[in-house]
Amino acid sequence: MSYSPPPFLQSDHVSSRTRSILLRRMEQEQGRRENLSPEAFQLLETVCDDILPQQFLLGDLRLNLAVMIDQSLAGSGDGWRFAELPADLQAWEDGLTSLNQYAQALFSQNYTALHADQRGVVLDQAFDGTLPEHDQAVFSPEQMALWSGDLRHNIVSFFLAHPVVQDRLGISANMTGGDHIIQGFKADSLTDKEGFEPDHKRHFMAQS
Amino acid sequence: MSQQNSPNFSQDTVDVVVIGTGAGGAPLTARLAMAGRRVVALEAGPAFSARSHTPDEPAAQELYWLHERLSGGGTPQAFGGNNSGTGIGGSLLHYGAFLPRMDARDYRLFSESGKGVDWPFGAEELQPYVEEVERFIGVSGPAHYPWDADRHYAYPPLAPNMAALKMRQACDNVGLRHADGPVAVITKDHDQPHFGRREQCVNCGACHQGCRNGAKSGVDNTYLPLACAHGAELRPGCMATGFERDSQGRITAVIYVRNGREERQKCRAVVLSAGAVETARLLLNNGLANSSGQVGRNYMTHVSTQVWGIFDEETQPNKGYPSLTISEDMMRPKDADFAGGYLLQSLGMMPLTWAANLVRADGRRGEALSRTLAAYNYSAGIGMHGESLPSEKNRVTLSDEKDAFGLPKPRIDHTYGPNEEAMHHHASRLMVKMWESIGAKDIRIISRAAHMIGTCRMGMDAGAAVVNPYGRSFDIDNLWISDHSTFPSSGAANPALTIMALSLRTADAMLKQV
Repeated sequence: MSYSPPPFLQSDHVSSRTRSILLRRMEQEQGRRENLSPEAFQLLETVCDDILPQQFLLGDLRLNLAVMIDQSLAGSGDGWRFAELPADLQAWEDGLTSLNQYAQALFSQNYTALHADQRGVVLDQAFDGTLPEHDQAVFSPEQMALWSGDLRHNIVSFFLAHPVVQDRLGISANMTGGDHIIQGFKADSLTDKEGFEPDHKRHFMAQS
Repeated sequence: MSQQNSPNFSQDTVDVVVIGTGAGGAPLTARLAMAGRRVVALEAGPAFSARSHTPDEPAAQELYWLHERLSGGGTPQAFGGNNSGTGIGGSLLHYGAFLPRMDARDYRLFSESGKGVDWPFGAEELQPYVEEVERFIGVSGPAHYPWDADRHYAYPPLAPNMAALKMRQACDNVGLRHADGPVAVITKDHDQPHFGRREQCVNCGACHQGCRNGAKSGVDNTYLPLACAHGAELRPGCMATGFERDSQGRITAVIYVRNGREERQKCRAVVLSAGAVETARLLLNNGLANSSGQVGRNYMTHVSTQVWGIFDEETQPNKGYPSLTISEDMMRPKDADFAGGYLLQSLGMMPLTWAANLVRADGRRGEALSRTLAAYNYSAGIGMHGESLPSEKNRVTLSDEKDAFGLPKPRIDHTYGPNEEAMHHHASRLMVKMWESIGAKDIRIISRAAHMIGTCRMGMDAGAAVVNPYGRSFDIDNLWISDHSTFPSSGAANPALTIMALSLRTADAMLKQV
């Protein structure tokens, strides 16, 4: 889905470098799968929606978090990984494959064919490390627990890194200052919003 | 930072090569250069321009050490942010600048509790260096520090953000003393010798993504310009991989890789300031300085549990200095069922870091997770840093996997012991009570470890330590270590100040011999 850059990107409280990083991220989100297998990628799209449904926050707009994650898997990573997991791209391929294998073990169907509450059981048990032992699964229950942390970490990170999300949630974290004047935030307004910050307010108790 | 009129010592035999330009390497480089020594500081990362730092969290990962580490053990530690960095200035480019002094009791933990180990000297030995570092780099803090009547900070405190105000209120409710913390951020413009104008803090909140206006006191805007002004050479983009030695085993040159090519720098002495993982990896991979068998052992962190909650009014956690309010009242709690103690601090946080911590610790998903993310602007936290005891189980070793340089990737095994678990639970109970007392909702406990400490312990006994109390190798008399890897115990304080103070002290010891 196409959308416009949010107004805060044009503010002189955003540096040129930060602006171009955020615009590039918007382009990246419009891209295509490059690294994961088609099967794993398709499964990842469903898992992203199950872990972080976007409608409550973005209405009709749905960001393709799976593409953003997929494209990040080609890089050199973030400096570390769990010793019990293989290198990043292989770990994601194996983790997603295993998700289907555990779905089969628990409910005799692939993950995407399950009801939402059954998919939730698979995800919860994977995160908690309580999946049943399964000889044929690529990842052990312990490995699934570790990878589930990476999975959730990447989903929320790519979501919040997107400028449209920052705008909708009223987040001014990238508005630390421009190229020549680094304005920051006024000392007497740290507990209030300033005029240049995105003005959307969303409270966790609010209904969609 | 840029270096003007930089010398080029590449064809010479210099007095000292320092490996790493962060808190361990930079003060020492300046001290040695000021005493007329010819010094080359090798830095694996690039020279960043402070103005070009970005608050965008994924892009700001360029400040982290990105050569892959394998994290194992029962409590595997997340690396990246909040431990090790890269670039001229090291981890101080992204550190939080929270600068408490190490508590005098923490130097004597074994004598006090029978657990952990004592340092080979006490707080009074390091005190002059601690004060020198604070004076030189610029630290803000309160006029009256509740836990040390003699302490003075050169700059008035930073402006409190909502998290800082919330923690003040919570401390009052549960009967804890609190203050504005000691913070290595200046609150008045300052002309830093050999660097130029550093602007006062503008409350942008992106300390961990790199300070753009020079307000945060790192070494890129303090000790390194001083070092350069006195003739030191900073050489970025140089990954140290090995050493040449003479027939007596003394080091005669450092081998490093620059732009894919191997180069060497001849020298009379070497200082390792690469941090707890890289210093140990370099020694292990080269089979050096390990007659004690202690290299890589006793890897420590800080117990760094966080408690977060959601409030009715907006808190805007990205705004203002993230962690201003401090309480040192838990350094030796009366009801402690553990050795050592912990510091408390308020927590604002940038959004991705906040969410990433949350989802690794909390299993929520679906609309519950969406609602939680929507509450970012209503969130505030409290965090702690506490003693982590040295343990046989926790260590850095070489894995079977090779990195882009052909070096074995390091594996770090880390498992909390009973002391860390007990401290985590004690602090969790207290922080939950504090947040409940001010009406926080959806209170969440996030168990996590931060910082890297140990792996090349200092001590008096060559059979049980890697370096002597001044940082000199017992095995190779022209090899020194100046970073947190020499800490015998973790203490509770954030390590940067102690690392810098030790760095100056090691430099003074070297000047008597090099």
